[in-house]
Amino acid sequence: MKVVARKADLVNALNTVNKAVSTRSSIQVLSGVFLEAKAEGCHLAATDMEISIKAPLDAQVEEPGAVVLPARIATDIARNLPREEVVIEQKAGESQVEVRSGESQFMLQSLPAADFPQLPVFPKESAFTLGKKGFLETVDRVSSSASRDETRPVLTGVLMHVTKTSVKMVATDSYRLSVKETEIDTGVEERLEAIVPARSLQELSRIGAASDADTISVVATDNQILFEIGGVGLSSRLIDGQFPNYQQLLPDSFDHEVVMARDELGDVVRRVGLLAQRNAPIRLRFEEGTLTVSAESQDVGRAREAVPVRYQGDVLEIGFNPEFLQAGIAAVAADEVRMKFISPLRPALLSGEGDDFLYLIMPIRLND
Amino acid sequence: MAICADALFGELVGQRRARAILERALETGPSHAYLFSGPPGVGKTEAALAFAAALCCNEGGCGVCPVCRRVREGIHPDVDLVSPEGTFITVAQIREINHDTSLRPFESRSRVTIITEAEAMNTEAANAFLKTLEEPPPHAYFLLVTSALERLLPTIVSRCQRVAFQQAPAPELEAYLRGCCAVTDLEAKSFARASEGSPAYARRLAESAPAREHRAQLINWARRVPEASFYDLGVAADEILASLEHLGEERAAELEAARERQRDWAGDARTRNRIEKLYDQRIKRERRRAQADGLAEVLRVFAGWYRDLATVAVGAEQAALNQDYLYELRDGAFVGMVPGYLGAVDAVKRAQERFRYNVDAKCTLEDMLLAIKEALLP
Repeated sequence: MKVVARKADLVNALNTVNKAVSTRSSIQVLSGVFLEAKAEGCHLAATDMEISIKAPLDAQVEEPGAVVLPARIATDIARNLPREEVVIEQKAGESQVEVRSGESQFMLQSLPAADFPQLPVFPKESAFTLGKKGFLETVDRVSSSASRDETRPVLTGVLMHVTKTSVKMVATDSYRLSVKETEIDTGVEERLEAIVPARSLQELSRIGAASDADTISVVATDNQILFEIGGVGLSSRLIDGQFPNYQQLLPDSFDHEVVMARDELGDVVRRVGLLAQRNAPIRLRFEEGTLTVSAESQDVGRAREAVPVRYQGDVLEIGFNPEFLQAGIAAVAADEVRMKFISPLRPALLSGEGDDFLYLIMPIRLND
Repeated sequence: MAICADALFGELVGQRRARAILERALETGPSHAYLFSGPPGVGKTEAALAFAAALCCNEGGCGVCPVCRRVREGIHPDVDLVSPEGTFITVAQIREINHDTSLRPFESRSRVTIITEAEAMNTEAANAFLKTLEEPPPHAYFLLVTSALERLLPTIVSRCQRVAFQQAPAPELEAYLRGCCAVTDLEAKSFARASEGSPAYARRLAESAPAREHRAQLINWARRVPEASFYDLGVAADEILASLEHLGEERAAELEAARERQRDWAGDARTRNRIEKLYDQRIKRERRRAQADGLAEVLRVFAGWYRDLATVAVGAEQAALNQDYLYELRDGAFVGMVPGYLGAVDAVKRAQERFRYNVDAKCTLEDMLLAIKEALLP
């Protein structure tokens, strides 16, 4: 194998795939990056067996071939190359790979390409394409509600529901639930439903942010879901299981409804939340015309702030996890946030005006 | 679907029953959980890997394609090989298994988790594993491997289909040794008998001069017990233990080399730490295991020797285990001593029992030698 590439391209491609290099596995080949040179082009790939990332490398292929290089060392070398041009060559029958740039030469121990897991191939003909902006926005606003607790695997995923005209995503860690439906023309014939690990979608969002492409192509196979943005491919194993029936969790009706300016509420919650430490709740007390937000941590101190609000009826005092409440307010993409309550022990619902986003949040029982 | 049973299980010696179960499972559709149980060194883990290869292979188990090869080398993404980290298989390891099981396979139609030394699951880990074992997703298979079935929780055992491995019959071992090693007929016969059904040990005797010397030395000790003084017995116990110390060094050195190679290749600090830790534990475990195997061999040789004396004394020479020591056996065996020989075998069995409960090795060994001496008093 012999390829000639530019240093900047090599560094970029390595940076892209490095996010999928395994840092946990005891399988040596997974801490490597797969380099494949074919007559029609060259690409890099890495996988930690959950996510795989494939990035094209703009290079001149003088002799086709494939090899696995140590990811970290290869990246360090690429960054420190003295010249713009770099030659990567593996002579037939040798296990070492030579990296040459200017007068400097590196000989790297490599592993055989046949030991690398077989990455899924992107079947272009069955893919559907949709707008990047709307899709990734949906990802960003929903995926943070997914659970990080491995004991309930299904909740570490995002339920993705795609129809011909819309994409809906749902995530919950059982303390809060985010639902966002976005109208996107997908052109998909059969509707698609899959549970995708939240981590994979967050990685996809990162790749999307760095790319200037406007669209994302998506294919779901039995085991994996594959995305492609501007030539960079990300595939992820799907989570097997039954996602909770979230529709059942959304209450049919609420007793109280409050509309407030999002930024103002967000600021107050963040300020007062500074004194809600170590699982202490943040308290929201609604009475005629006033909302009082307060928090107290033993051994630290307490905070309170009152804001005028259009509220009528009985006094309602309800407590939340400050972090979850802040995340919910931040995820509402409208100037005004609408909050609905039933009672201090029933979930509350946050939403924005003219926005298909719902954030259901469980309260914390207040002790006094 | 082309299942090639010989390519998969050809290496198994004398496991006709286990092979039949596995082959039938591949033909008619496998269950989700199997328990490979049986004595050590008979090829259970190898069989589990071969079976896993068949579950992942696109041909249904050809044994030779790249998929099969990677599975058997332990580098396939859909086959996870789990063994104890430290003394136990921990709940953290089980959580990782549970998480990984909840994901669909990476590239194959199945996802297989092989748990070796499954008896090392502590109660917490076993309980964390139960639910996954009970309701696995359709693509998931679990192969548990153990040589101490009785130490597994019954709730685990009852959720698996048993694949019982046995000591390989001596004639098959003999044929196997003749096929793979340069041995004389007498050697093949002796090693097959002396190994008590373990192809791995029989092969070691056939191939390694130090292994043969060690056996000869052990037999020598066993022969000398009756005329040894109490002081001699203490020395013998020390010497026996000393002879076991080097065991596992070779394997440890191999693992250390692999650790260096993999660590230097990995690069980032987190992976390096993980690799270091993983290999350290593995090396410790291999050492401990080699010591335990070594002790087991000592007891096996001792028990075998006194059993043979009894066998030869009653004129059943052809049933003796140590066929290459018939001359010495004839020389030492007396019919009147048969109860004594059996008493000596009992003494060894008691020691075996004690080792299982981790009683101090030196105490147990000294006590055993004394008991043998007493049993053999004329």
